[in-house]
Amino acid sequence: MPTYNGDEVNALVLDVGSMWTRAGFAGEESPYAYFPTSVGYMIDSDSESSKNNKKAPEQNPTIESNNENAEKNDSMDVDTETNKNEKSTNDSEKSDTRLKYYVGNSGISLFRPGMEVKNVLADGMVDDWDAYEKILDYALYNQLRINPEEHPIMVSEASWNSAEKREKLTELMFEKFKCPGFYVCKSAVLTAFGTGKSTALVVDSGADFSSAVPVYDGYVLQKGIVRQNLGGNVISDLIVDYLKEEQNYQITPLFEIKRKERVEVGKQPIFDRRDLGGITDSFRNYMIRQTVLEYKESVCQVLEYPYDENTASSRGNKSFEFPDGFSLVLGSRRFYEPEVMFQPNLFFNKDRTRIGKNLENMNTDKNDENINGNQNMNNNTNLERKKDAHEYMSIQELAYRAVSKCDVDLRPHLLHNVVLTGGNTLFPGFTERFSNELPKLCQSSRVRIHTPGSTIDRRYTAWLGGSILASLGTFHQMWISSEEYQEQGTSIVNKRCF
Amino acid sequence: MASSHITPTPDLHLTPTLSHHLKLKKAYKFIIFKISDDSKEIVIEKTSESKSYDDFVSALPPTDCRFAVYDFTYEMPDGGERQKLCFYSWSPDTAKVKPKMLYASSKDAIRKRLDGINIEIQCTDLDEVSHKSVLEKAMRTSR
Repeated sequence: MPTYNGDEVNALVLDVGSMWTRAGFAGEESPYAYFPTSVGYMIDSDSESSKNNKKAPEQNPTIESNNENAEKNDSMDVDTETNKNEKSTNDSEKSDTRLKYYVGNSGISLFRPGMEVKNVLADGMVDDWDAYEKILDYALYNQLRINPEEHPIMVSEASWNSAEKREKLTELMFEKFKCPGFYVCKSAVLTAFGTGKSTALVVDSGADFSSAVPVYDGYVLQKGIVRQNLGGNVISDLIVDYLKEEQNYQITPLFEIKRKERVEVGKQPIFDRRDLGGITDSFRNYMIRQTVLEYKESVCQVLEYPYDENTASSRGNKSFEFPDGFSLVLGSRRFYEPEVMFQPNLFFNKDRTRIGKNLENMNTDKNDENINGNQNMNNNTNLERKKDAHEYMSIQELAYRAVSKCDVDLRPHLLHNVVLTGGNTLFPGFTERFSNELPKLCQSSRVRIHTPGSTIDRRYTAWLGGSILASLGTFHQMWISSEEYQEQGTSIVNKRCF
Repeated sequence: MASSHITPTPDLHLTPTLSHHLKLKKAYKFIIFKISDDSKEIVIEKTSESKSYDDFVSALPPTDCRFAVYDFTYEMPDGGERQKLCFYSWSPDTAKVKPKMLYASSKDAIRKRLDGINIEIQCTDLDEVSHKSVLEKAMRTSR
């Protein structure tokens, strides 16, 4: 355990991001555990056989998933039937308690019949508290292997987290984990501090969303926060669409492949599919996302100047081989999809629907029955985008709008201290492009873009900030102690941590 | 706010004597503060009477962070001397993350103890701390 200034602190730091969770000991330079913020879950079949009042996992089990269950062995099929019957009679609250959760890299990426995958956060805030608890369980007991009753815990949160959710988190920490001290810190502030700034505009582009958060003297200026759900996952979806439409190729995730043959570049893959029953849509989709992530990390880049096919094709080719043997040599295309961060209007209409597409089309061009659910999922996200009728804005406009919402005197300070962070900014060329685009919008001020450390550091800048802060002997006066919690209740978190 | 709670040492009678020292008595031209090695308090590292701005700049360590106050004097274009007290948070890109974090989260504590600061400068490289860019800032604030 790290000891500082004679005060033993032993604090733990947790940073739960939209894609990855980082957990570790305060004072260390990198998080001890780094695993996906998604959980796999399915009905706990042990308890199911003993008690017959088991229910379907979600309130919305789709027809497709029941069909898939039907493909499984008979006994499983019967179970599903009982579940369905029970569902109509049972109240919905009891359902979650009998779910079996799988967390961590090996928990979630391993195929299990009937396992669904879901993300714990929505819009940067905790959405599913049961699953969130499982993430914390896993981080504390399985990864760090400590007893939380002995360690104060610092958790980072999105700058727009609601007061109710923070109180709920406080309650969880003290009631369930019984930790001796607790503090919740805005990740934008930790990122700014970790870059050596108490005043900064923190531009964070992650998997789910991108945000621009003004921080002044260590305080988040709430009215200046601008965010939208345009992030790495949108780029991934665009890549999947491109492969489907222009290469006539559907990604088959690695776990489904039994045997593959070498094929020439651009030729349809020849492979045998493993005979697996009970693949859920959410699991397949998750695994496809992982493959696309690899694709993005291997080949995608951002041009320094607005996308131009000629410039892009002069940058050389890179090849990528998918798990099923399908391979592509990519030239200018490598630069195309990430361009959505800077020119969303190339891809999306004003109502956030894809340009040159309609929803009917997307449903009919299906040829592989197995991937139906996947298709539906894409459809759903498209529908959501449509609901949210604001036009997508580019990342530079996002930053600019955040600055414009702040006091005039502050703007030059913020623009001079722009900090770029988040996994989605790790495309080669992203920083340079952003540094070229932002000054175009605000010509009167000098703009300076800072990026924290190396690209590896950028994956956990906020965690590192928390680690240093929580390791300070002098920080002990900031912790909410369990005594204070007993006296004042959950509302203390909103008085102490802001 | 998330603060380190590293505070200026109690025996460092900063206020109001600091402004007094710098402005009235002109005892010092600049003062450089650092966070003590045990990360517990902010102490004075160096004081100087040197009139040369370069001396001040070279007193800032290239790979570590510091706080500093400089008594900045300059001439207005229409003549007449002006004087501004500048507060610097020096946090070079080359510094390690730990000092960056410590200094950024402690800035508020020292800043509150300092009276009569006219200009605040958050700087990451020599360009931002240069006489020219500070002068620019000073000119903007003085009419």
